[in-house]
Amino acid sequence: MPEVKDRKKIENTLAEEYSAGFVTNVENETFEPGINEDIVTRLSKIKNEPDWMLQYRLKAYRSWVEMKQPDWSTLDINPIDYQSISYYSAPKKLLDSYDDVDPEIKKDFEKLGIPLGERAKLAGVAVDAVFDSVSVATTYKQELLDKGIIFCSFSEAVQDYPELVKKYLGTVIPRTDNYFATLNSAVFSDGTFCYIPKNTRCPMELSTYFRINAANTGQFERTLIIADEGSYVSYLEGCTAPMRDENQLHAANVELIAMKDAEIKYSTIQNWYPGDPKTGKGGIYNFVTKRALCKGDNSRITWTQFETGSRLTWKYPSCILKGDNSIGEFYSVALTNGYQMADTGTKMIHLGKNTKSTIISKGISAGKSTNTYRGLVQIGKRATGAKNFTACDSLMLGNECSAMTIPYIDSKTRKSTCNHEATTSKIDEDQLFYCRARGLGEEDATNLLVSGFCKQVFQQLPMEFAVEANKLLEVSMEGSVG
Amino acid sequence: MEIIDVYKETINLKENTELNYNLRPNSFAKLFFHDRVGVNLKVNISLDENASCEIYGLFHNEGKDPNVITDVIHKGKKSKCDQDFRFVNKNCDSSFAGKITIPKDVTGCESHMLNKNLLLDDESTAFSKPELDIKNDDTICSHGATTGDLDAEQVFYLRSRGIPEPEAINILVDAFYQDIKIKMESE
Repeated sequence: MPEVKDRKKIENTLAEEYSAGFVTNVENETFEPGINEDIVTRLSKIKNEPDWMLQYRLKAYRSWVEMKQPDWSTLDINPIDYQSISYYSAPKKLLDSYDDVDPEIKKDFEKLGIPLGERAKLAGVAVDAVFDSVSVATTYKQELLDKGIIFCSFSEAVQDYPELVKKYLGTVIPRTDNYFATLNSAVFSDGTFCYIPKNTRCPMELSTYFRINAANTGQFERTLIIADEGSYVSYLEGCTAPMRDENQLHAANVELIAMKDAEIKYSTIQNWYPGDPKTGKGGIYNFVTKRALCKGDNSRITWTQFETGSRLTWKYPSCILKGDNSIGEFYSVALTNGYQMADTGTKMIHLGKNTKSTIISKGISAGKSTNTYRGLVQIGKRATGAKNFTACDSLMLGNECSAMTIPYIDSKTRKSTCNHEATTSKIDEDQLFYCRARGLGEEDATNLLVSGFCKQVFQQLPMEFAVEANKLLEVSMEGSVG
Repeated sequence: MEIIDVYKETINLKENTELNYNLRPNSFAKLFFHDRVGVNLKVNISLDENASCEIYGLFHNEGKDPNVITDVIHKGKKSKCDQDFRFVNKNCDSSFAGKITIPKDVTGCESHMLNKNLLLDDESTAFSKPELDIKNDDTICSHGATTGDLDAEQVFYLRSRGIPEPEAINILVDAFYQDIKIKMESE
C-alpha cells in the first residue's frame, strides 16, 4: 500500500489540471457554424485558391454528403452534429513576420514551450505553428529555401508551388478514402507542406505545432511531405487544445511520400485535451487519417508516436510499401487515463519485393479507459521476400480499465514471413517490490517501470521530444496509482 | 457439452462443425482437432472457476479451405486456457479467427493463443486474426502468430544429405507440427 506521503502526492496531482488547457483571448474571424457548398466555396475564396483546388474541395464535399459516419470501432462516440461546427477560424490580425504576430498568441506558444522566433534559433528546430485554422508563423523558412527545401504552410504552398501540390495532393489518401478524410478534403483550412529536393539531407528537425483555440470549431489540417530521391527529413508534430465541456472534432489528413532511397521520420506527440478525468465530459475527438507511401525502391518511412491526449483517438498511421526493398516502421505508445478511449494501431501493406516492416506498439490503460490496438499486416501476391515483425504489448493499471488487441494478418504469398506477438498484463509485482525495497515510493516506482515499458519506443524519438515525452508520461500517469 | 471432471477428446473433422464446451469449476479438458478435408469449425468454450482447457488444432489441407473460429470466455476466476492451431496449406486459403475474452472482476486468469501457418505453394494464403479482449488487470495473456514458407536452408541441408526434395519437404512439414502430434498420440 502506498504511504501517506504518496497518497498526498497522488491527491495533489489528481487535483492538478490539464496544463495546456488555457484559452487565449484573440480576436478571431470565425465562420458561422454549418457546412454546405457555399461554406466550402467561401473558405476557398478567403484563401484565394485557384479553381482546381476549389473543384477538389467541392468534389470531396459532394462525396462526403453521400457517406455515412462509420461505427465499427470500439469507441463510444457521442453523435457529432456537423452543422454545429464552424469550419474556419482565424486570428484577425495576421501579418507577415513573426514580430507582427499577436502578442497573445506569442504568449500562448511561449506558455506551451514551443520555440518560435529567438528560441527556435537556440533549439535548432524549424517550426510551423498552426493556430485554429491558419498557420501563424513559420521559422527558418529562408535558410531552408537556400538549400531548396520548401517548408511552409499549406495555403502558401497552394499559392507558390501549385504544380507540386496538384501533383501529389490526394495521391496517398484518395479524396473519397473514408468519412473523416473526405470531410477534411472538403474543408481543410491549413497545415504544413514540405518538399525535400533530390539528394538533400534536411539539416534540422522540421516541426509543426497545432493548437485549437476557438470554441465550437473543428480543426481540419492537412500535411503533405514529399521526400525526393535520396533525401532525408525528420518531422515532428505536437498538438494541444483548451479545456472545454463540449467535444471538439479534429480530423486531419497526413500524407507522406518517399521516393527512391528517401527516408522520412515522422514523430508525433499528441496531447489534446482528454476531457474531464472525473466525468469524462468534453475533450477532443481525434479522428485522423495518416498514411505514408514508400513509392520508390529502398525508401524508408518511420512513424513514431506518443499519444496521451484526446477523449477519443481513432487513427491508424499506415505505410504502403510499394517500392522494392522499402521499409516501414511504426513505434507507438498510447496512454489512456480517465474516461479516454483509443482505437489505434497501424496498417502495413506490402506490395514490393523484399519489403520489411516492424511494428512496436505499447498500450497503457489506466483509470476507466479503453485501449484498443487494431492493426493490419497485408502481404500481397507479388511481395516475395517480405518480412514483418509485430509486437504489441498492453499494460493495465487498475481494475477498471480494459485492453483489446485485434491484429489482422493476411499473407498472400508463401515467400514471406510474418511474426506477431502480443501480451497483456499488469505491472510485475516482483519488479514493483524490488523498486519499493530500494526506497522508491509506489508512484515513483510505477513511473519508472512504465517508462521502462515505453523505452523501446522513446528511443526512436528525436532528443528534445524524448525528454518531453518522459515528462508528459509522468503527468498523464498521475492519479492512476493507488 | 458440459465438462465436470477430466475430459479428453480427439476429433477427426469430417464436416462443418460447431462445438460448445462448458467447463464446470475445477474441471480439465484437452481437445484435439484434426482436419484434412477443409472444414468450417467453430469452437465456443466457457470456463468456470479454476477450470483449465487445452485446445490443439492441426489442419493439413490440399485444395480445400479450412476456416476456424474459436471463442474462449473466462467466466470464472483463475481459469486457464491454452490454444495452439497449426495450418499447413497447399493450394488453399486458411482463415483463423480466435478470441479470448476476460470480463471485468474475473481475476487471476491465464490465457494463451498460438497460430502458426505454413504455406507450401504460391497458390496458398493465410489469414489470421487473434483477438484479445481484456477488461481486468489481474491477467496474464498473450497471443502469437506466424506465417511463412519452409526454411530454404533446411530443405537444402536435407537435400545435400541425399534426400529428394519432396521427401525433404515432408520431413520438415512433419517437424512443423511434431510437438502437437506427440501430444495427440500420447493420449
